[in-house]
Amino acid sequence: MISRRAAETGFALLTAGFGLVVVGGAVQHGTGWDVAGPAAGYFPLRIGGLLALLGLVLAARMALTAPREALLGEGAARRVVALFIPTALFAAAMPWLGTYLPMALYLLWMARVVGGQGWLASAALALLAPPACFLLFETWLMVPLAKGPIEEALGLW
Amino acid sequence: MVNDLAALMHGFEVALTLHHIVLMFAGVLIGILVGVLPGLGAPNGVALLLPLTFAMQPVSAIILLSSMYWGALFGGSTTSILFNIPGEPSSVATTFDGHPMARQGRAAEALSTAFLSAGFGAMVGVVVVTLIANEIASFALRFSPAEYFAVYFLAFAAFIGMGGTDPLKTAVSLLIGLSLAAVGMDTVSGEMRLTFGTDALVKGISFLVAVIGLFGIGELLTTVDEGLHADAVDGRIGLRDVWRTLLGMPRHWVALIRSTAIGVWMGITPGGPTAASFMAYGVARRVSRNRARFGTGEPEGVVSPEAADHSAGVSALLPMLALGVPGSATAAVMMGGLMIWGLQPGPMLFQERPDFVWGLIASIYVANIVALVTVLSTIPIFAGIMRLPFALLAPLILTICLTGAWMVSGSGFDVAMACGFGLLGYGMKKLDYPIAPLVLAMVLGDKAEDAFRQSMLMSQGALSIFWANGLVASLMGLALFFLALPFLQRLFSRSNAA
Repeated sequence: MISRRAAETGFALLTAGFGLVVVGGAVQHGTGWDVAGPAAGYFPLRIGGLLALLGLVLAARMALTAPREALLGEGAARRVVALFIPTALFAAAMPWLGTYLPMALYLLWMARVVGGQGWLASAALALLAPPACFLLFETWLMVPLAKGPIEEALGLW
Repeated sequence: MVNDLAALMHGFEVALTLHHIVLMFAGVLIGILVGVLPGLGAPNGVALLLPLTFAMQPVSAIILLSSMYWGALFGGSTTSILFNIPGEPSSVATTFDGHPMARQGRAAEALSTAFLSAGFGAMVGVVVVTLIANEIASFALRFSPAEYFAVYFLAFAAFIGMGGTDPLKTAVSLLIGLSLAAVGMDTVSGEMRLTFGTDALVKGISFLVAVIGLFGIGELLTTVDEGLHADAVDGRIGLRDVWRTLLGMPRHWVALIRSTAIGVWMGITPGGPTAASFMAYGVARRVSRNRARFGTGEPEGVVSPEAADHSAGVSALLPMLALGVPGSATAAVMMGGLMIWGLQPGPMLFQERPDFVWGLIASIYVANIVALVTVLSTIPIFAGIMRLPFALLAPLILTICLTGAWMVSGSGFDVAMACGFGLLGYGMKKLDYPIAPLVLAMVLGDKAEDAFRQSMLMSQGALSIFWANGLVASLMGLALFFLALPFLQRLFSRSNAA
């Protein structure tokens, strides 16, 4: 189990690393002075540098003082992963398969497998939500959602 | 002052059309729903709704979005009281006494106390906005880029000094936001910054996507992490309960006024509603005559955070309109909306678009009354939603978040980014990093940088421009004082202990 101290220190180091990435991006541009005043990299260099510095200070402080207790409660990590992985897969599938089929599969999986709901409730959710979204967004509010091969085959796009 | 009243009357003419009243009802209802549902709060509710307003008139759009905000503030305290689950971070303090009251069979009293205190706070907040918004805006017309940078710096410093969170973590959150704001095309030179050759980053990172991820997905991950323990209490409110509570409200006048004052102050100096509600609760627990009963179902423990929460929520719009510096995360998202609609928040807005400014201010009066009546009469219905299994609600809310991220610009990259921001938000919540400063910095980043670069250009690189006159020097001095505040407090408490 990850301790709070390890997580706090690691996260602070990550922010410091992000600060260094910003510095790295900034130095690809002028970081000093040009005809239009401070150059494009001037501000990001200082922001990124300060972030890296504060991240390191925070990491040092956390490594010494943060409590050693476990970060996550019983089963919490499993619940978070069980929620996040399918959501991330849904997000990844959206540009390729369109919104609606991944949505139905996602809702079915989340309700039936992760949530332990009955088949009837799960299937109802998975079958009713996509057309409801279609009516709400595409028909009524006229905002297009992602379309894929299925929508194309059905002539909805 | 007389001019302000005339302008306000004109604002009422704008706000009180049938179209706008319907929008207020719609906004309030969506807002209550968003406030009640865990994982959907006011900031990401506004972010999700924003893409739908691109085709609307700006004044109609802002009326819809701000009404949603008021609805969400009311909805958030409902779940705090009935289920011990704060629907909004700013209603956490309401759980301390609101839920015990509900457990003792006084749910109706707790709810109506919360709503009436909130309504009082909102009304005082909007009166303050009405009275001083124009003065502040006229004053700010004299600002040069140096003063503007000082105001932005002051806003950031206020978060660090008064946000109530670890100052270093707040600073890190701000700096991440400022870095993210710098991604994409540089507004001055047109150079591509921090894109590292990725085409999708050229247009920058949308703060809407960030808000949806940080507040929506992150919030839900936190909820399942902690395990959702809803111990529900019946939430029916009769007219008689409301009447009885209303008659009893004057007893709490000290707490009401004190908490509203805290709320207005925290809304204008960007501390935001969350910090305001905690501060008002903390102060009440220290100074109230009934302090011994706090935590066991004391009405004053509901009055204080609620009045502060709503007065802060309303007055957070004042610096957004008058200075272009939002006082809360939700106000920051709304200000981003203003810029997307092609309006420049700040003093010029009062001269160029008085119909927009005063239509909004007038709508705050009307919409809060609409919200109060709506929330009192519809709470049992909305509370019923929370009885649905979380296993069905959570994936539905996440579906809304992901489709919302798609709607921002129809790009799969945004949807992936929203997931990434969800993880970031979960990590930040878990490790007590405040999220609001990140959002504020993302919205203000470009403006702050522009102001800084223009100041540097004016002074030919001398930082002394930030001390060049009394106004900018006092703004900078106040900001430095806020930055030093955490250290001063530590010194003070140490010398007290010694």
